[in-house]
Amino acid sequence: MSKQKTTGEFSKVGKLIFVLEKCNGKAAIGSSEALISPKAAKILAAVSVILLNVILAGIAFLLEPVMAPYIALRDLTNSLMMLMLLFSLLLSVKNIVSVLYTSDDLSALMPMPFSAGQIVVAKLAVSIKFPVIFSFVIMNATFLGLGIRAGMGAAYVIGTVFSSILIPVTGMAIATLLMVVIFKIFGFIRNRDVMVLISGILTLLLTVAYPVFSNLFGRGGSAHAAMSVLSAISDISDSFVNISFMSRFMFDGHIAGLFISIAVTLAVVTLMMFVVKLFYFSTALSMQNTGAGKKAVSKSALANRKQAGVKKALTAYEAKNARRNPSYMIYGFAMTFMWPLFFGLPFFFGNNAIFSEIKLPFHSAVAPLAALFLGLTASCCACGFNILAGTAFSREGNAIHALRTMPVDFKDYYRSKRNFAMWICSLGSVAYVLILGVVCAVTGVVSVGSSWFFLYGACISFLCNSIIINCLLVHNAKRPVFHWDSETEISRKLCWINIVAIIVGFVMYFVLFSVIFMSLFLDKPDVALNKDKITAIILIVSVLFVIILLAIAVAVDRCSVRRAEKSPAEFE
Amino acid sequence: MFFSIVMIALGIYTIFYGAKIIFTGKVSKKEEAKISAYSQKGARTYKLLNAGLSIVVGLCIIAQSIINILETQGILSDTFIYLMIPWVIILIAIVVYFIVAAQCKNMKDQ
Repeated sequence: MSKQKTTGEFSKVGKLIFVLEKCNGKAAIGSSEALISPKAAKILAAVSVILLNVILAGIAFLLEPVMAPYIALRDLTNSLMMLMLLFSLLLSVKNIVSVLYTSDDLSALMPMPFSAGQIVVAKLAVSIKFPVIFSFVIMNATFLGLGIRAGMGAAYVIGTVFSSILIPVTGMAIATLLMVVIFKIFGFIRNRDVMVLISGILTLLLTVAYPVFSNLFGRGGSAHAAMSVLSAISDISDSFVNISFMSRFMFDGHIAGLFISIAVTLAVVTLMMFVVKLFYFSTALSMQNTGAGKKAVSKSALANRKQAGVKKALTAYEAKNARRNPSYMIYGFAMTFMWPLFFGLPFFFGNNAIFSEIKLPFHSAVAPLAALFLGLTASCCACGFNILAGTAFSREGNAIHALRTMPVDFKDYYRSKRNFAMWICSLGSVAYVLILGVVCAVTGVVSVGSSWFFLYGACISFLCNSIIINCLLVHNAKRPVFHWDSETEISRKLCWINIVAIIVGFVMYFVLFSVIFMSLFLDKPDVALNKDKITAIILIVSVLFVIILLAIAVAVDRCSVRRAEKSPAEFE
Repeated sequence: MFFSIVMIALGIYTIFYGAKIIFTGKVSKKEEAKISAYSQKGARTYKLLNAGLSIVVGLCIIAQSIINILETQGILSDTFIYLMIPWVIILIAIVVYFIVAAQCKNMKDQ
């Protein structure tokens, strides 16, 4: 009777897992939509996994003698286990938040004939499926390939198989434990917009941290350096009880190590289930009913708004509208101001600090060219990473119908959006170029007389901003998306103009460095070149370029209003 | 060496993507929206085409990386022709892809 009951519960959880996977939009192998028969798809998938295992094991088998002189097998496996634990932990944090808290399916699942425990187990099973399969394939294949070549015994094989399952389970359990406790304690995090804001900030920090740390701790990229990093990770892994005990079992044959490792994983999973039982449902259910905070409009605020002109009022509306969501704050503002962290920082730290090569003060004939490329880089990066212009009309959503009924000229409406985007992008480009100029003049990198180059760079940047922003606005006006599920959905999408701008900015950045290196060459006293002639040519080219850019900017500005007027975003 | 390993990983991912299309019958959301207007036969052919191209390109990337590794280790020398073969195959696969993909739109169910 009890056996029947257990089987029934398992089948219920299995069905629930299937339903949850379907709801999450995940495609199932061998479903009715498969291009071959479902049975063949399943068999082929299994064969493919086995084949992949064999290939990976073969590669590990071949690489073992290459790596052996640099790192011991024990250190290598420990560091790989540590990396796998971190990978499953990070992956589980994302999965747990989306599956447990933001999936919106709890209100639909609660009335169904499933117990609370079954729902939680099914949700956790959905989130752990990928890390376990990934870890099982990668760890077994590589560890066995390495172990067979190194002549390891049965304990190594058993330990490998166990750790390929235990490590992702431990990672998931720790992630769940942390997330459930954090969501319970910090109530503000349950707000989805705040969650997007936090994840955006963390992503930015991680992205910025990578180039900084890789330059600070980079040791030339040799095989010895790479292996010493793995050894360092292996040393850290000793602090993780389950990895260190499993390692003792695999390499020293201590059978207690295996049991302690299993016991640690079981203890973490039990603690996680206990915490989930205590806190999960109350927290998750409180997230199902949320609403926007409302503020009463004061008479004085309305009176002030009336005094401003239509364009000013619309610009103020645009500024307020663009700040209403934290995801806009990240992708519309923060990214515009943070681009120098990605491009600038790596060249100030560690082995790549190329600025130490430049002799001060910097007064080369190619300075106007450097200013030109600096301005272009700043503009392309600030506008490329910015979603304000690219989503200007889509951001209105259903409010566009209300705006269309207002007695507002479309030209004013368009220009208000352009002005606001110009303000923000200019703060992230023109202002940066000017600040850099002031800093360089004060610190003596350039003489005060030569600092007009930065004004030239700022001017180039402003004109380029105008062209890119107008292009982005016309692009969005032609294909506005007024019906979206969430604001985060539109705030994360960069259009092709953004991407082209980023790529051009990146190219300009490298050209800028090439020009700086060229200046180092030209400034050498033994270089027999007519420097006056070069200076004159560069000055003429720079002036011509700014005139052409000005003409293009004015033409694009005039045309873009007309083109946007004929678009679907136009007021009727 | 490092670049070749990265390219092998990319090749494996591309093969996986192709295999996923065959096993699940699903392409990316954007492409699903594109082929929603196609006939059943056209959609199926388009998916098979995508899967085939991914697998062929993945295999060629891996082949090229392996040739590079073998050259670095001194096992192979003068690998120009060996390296050209995967490139030619990729080029032919892309041309075939575009020709057949254009036909998919006009395919009709019997």
